[in-house]
Amino acid sequence: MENKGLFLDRGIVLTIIVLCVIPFLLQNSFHYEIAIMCMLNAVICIGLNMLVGYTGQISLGHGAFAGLGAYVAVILSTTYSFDPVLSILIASVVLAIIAYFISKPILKLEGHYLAMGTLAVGIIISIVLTNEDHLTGGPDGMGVSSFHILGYVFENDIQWYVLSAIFLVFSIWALQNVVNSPFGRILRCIRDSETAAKAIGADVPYYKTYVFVISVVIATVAGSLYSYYTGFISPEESGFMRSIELVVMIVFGGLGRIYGAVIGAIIITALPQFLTFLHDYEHMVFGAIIIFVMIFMPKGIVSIFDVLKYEKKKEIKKDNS
Amino acid sequence: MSLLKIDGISKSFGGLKAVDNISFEVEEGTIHALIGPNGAGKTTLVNMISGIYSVDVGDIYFNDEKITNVPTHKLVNKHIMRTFQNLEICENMTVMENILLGFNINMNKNLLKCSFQFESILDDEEKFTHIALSHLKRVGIEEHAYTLCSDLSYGILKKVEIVRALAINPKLLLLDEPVAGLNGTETAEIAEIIKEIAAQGVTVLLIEHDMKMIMGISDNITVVNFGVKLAEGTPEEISSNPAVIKAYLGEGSLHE
Repeated sequence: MENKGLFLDRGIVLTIIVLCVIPFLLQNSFHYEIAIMCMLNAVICIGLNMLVGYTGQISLGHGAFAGLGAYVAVILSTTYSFDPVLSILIASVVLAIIAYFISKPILKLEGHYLAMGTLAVGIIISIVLTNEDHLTGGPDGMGVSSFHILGYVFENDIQWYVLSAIFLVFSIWALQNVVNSPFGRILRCIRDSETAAKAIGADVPYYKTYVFVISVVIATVAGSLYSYYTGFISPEESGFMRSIELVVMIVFGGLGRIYGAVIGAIIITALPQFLTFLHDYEHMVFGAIIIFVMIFMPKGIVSIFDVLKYEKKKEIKKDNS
Repeated sequence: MSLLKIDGISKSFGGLKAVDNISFEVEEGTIHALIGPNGAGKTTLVNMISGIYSVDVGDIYFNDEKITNVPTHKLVNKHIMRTFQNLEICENMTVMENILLGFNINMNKNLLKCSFQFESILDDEEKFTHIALSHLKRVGIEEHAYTLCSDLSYGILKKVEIVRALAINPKLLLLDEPVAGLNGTETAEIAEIIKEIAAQGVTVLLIEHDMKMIMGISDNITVVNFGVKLAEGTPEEISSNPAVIKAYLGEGSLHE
């Protein structure tokens, strides 16, 4: 793993180029909305991937955490007229504290039990958001104040596109650094063997909690930004299906792969929009695509690149012999 | 003075007494072997010393400091390292990454510094990679340094585990069946490595089934059977102890 001086690697450069080209292909506001949704979902998935893919701890509650975080930020800025950036910061701190206290008991569970535990927490959050209508507007949701950073107001699609793109590139870059660092190595060790992690002196519960909190904070920030962008928030965004959707994205793209989370998020977010011409058959085809990808590429869609790399290696070997 | 002192420890699983009031001492700088038939409680004993199982009764002292029920990850700070009978290796990581994990307690793991790739993190990485390579050379597996562990044979992974345990210069090394499942050549190699480790002043507590190897390299032997201590002594004393022969070695071994 020679990564000295790997400030910007090929993957990041390619991502930046693609993100610069895409706006030329977007023709209307709806296209922008999908692009921005893809990017913010990708950011949430990067955080979730750190927990599920790299540390091996499943969470079926991240949709709810993203929704709750967004609500906290939105209520602060809309109802109590806080500065939006400050609101997101406060929401991050609040969610970090909540995640910390939830993770203490829940991360003692493993495998299916952890899935059930996080699922239950997610459903509880979703119910609270739906029923506390004096704060959240109930099932109808609520309008959201405009978003500005130090007085610079975000009002058109291109501004939002740039903000989301920067956020995404930064997240990819940071995660990539973390994964190959001593910190990330311990996370991967916990995934492969918790006993080994203990034997080399890692406090396993500490790391699990740390990653859980970080992934919830990332979800909070991305979830809040999305609400500010759409100008509306409803409990649906924190529902059970949303949490499942996030896990599907990272599994579909490739667990424990940096670009797996990104590509999975983009495909699962955008694909239904491309399939709308099928009308009633849309969901069926969407489901069939997911099933086929999982059958033929159980390690996710990015495993295609591994096969290509392997073929290339074989060719090089042939040339040498 | 003994480095490790086990003082009357016991452990039960339900109604089964896996370890029953066992005491022994490991002298500093020696290779101390712990032998016994399958199910005698050897691994349970090591799991208690290394904090993976809790101790029901009794105490464990390391350098006269009580370490009973200290969590595993804190024992590493006292330079007690161990390997496992059934490999505990990160299969989806390269050999080098596994070895670097061994340096964990010496490395800076600040998340912020890691995510922004601070110079100090990269310097650490380079420094420890260098040390890791020299360790790998010592056991002769440096050509596999950047191979994924899932692509390597059992014998090599056993060595990887030993090297990982050696990373932070342990004072006490617990080896749980390091040659189980290996062939003759590999066994001889590992025996050589263990001798070399001990020669550098590391105290080794070795759990093994391979009698030839045990008799060849250990300074002291403790024999356990059905969770109780059966005998203790030098390899010569043990191989002529009638109780041990009856329980474990079998009549034939005497005349080998």
